[in-house]
Amino acid sequence: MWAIVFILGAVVATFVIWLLNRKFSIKWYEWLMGSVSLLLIIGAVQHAFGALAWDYTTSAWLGALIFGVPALILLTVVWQLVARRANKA
Amino acid sequence: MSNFHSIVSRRDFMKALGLAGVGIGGSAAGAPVFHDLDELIASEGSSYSSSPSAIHNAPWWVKERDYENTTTEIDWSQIIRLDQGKDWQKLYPDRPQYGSFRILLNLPQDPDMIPDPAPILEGYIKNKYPEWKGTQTRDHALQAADSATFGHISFLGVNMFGDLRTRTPEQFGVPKHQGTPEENLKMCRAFLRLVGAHDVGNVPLTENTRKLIYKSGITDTAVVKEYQFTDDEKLSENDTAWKIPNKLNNMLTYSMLNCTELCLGNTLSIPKYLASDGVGNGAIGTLVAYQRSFIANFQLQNFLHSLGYQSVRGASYNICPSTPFGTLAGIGEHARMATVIVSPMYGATMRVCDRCLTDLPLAPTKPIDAGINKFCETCGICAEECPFGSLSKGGSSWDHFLSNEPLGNGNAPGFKGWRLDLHKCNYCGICQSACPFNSVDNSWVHSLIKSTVGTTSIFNGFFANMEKNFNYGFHNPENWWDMEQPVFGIKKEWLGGD
Repeated sequence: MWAIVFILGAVVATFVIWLLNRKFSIKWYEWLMGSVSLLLIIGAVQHAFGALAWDYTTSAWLGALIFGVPALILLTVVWQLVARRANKA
Repeated sequence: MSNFHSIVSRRDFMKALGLAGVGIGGSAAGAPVFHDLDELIASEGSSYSSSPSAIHNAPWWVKERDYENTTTEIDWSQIIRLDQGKDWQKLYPDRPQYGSFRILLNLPQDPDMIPDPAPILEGYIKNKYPEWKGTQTRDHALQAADSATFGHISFLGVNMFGDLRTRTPEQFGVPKHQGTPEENLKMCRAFLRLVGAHDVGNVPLTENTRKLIYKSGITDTAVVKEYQFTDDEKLSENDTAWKIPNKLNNMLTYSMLNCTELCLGNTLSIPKYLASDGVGNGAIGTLVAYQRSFIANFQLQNFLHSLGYQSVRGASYNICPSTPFGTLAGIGEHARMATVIVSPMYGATMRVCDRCLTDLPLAPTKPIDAGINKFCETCGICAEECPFGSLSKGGSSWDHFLSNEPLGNGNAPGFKGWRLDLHKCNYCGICQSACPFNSVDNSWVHSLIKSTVGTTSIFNGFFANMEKNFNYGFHNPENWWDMEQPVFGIKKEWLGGD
């Protein structure tokens, strides 16, 4: 289990380092929104699989929808904010 | 090349994945706050803290209350000693589910006294799972096999003072066990965990709690005998009474879980043929759990005997009702289901909350507040789901609506709570499967919700509605056969231990 935590941490760290190396201009609130969306995505996936493991299908999909959709919207907003600023520059 | 490889289950994988992100926020939100060192030290001595020495390994948001001060209001002046022996004699004839007792007591079988509950239960399951094929032969076989042993390992026909087959310390040639009350409680917990119990607590008999001891009980030959307290040194009995020395003043109380999946989706909820063969109904998981509890109680009494102490059997319906003692011991809270206490850890999947009255010195444990009782006030899912309408849909009340009927366990006066209509209930267990507190750790959301419910009640209505919309509750009974069953049927998440 801890191996999965480690791998996930490594992937996130690599992504952040890559972002910093590319010298993107990322505002503090974009970091915040990105972090929140990442947490929501992880939460949505964990809830969905946890519910499925206990045979609660409706709960799994509803949970994925409730946590996943806002996460994707947030992520898209962050992506667009960063990308548009980069294009302007 | 070796084929050996480690296996990470889907649940473990998802737990780990969730842990990475959610764990950070969760640990910050969920960490107990100690304002100074004194609070920390005090918490370690608490019976319901998260410290390793704690008797109950409850989450941080479960709060302790004062002794005899449960989340259910009790008016001790109204509490009366129930005449359980006489009540039960009255109850038997019109309770088809007690067919086994009718046989034991040589009472006539009268299955027509209430309508056959089987079509109602079948309708309930088919409404939820239209593809359900109905009770199959394998379901009948499973139920029959468990029922067969239930008849042999029962709570009637067992010596109230223990079917003692072990030696006393004198016979061993060793001194009687001596320990502090705290050490003794931990010792009993260690023993009881070994024989299948989950939570362990102790309620000392005081002027108040002594009123919860039944006035009378019933023997295996349907003889009503009184429970009498005396100043004698030793337990004794005659044809009319069990004589209990006053020095037996600790009610050791412990819970045992139902088989999880059989509780959540009960294959054995079709009592028709059981009523006809006179073995009694009850869910298969119920039967299994009761049998374990009878054996555990037998072993506990022998354990206490070999320590050099006396005990009175409190398995199932013996000596006192389970609900108040489980609540007073801090194992769970009184809930809308009335005769089922709900635990912050295992929800309503607890099957048995047994007791054992002993003179072994034991530290008392305190009642708890996990927000369960308050949540029941606004939730009511169990009452809505009950296919027989046996649960109250209103708020908690002082009314004991069966006052002119046999009182039974759930219908006694003296507390502001809920009562069960014993004449409607068929012990199908659907209410237990519907309880929102069953959702323990299958998702991070439930941990968050339960800690919120334990802290404030303002979101209770919202959470109850979410529970309904998310369609939790009763599982498709048919799936049980295809599942990889955990040993003894209890989910590994709830087995606990190091």
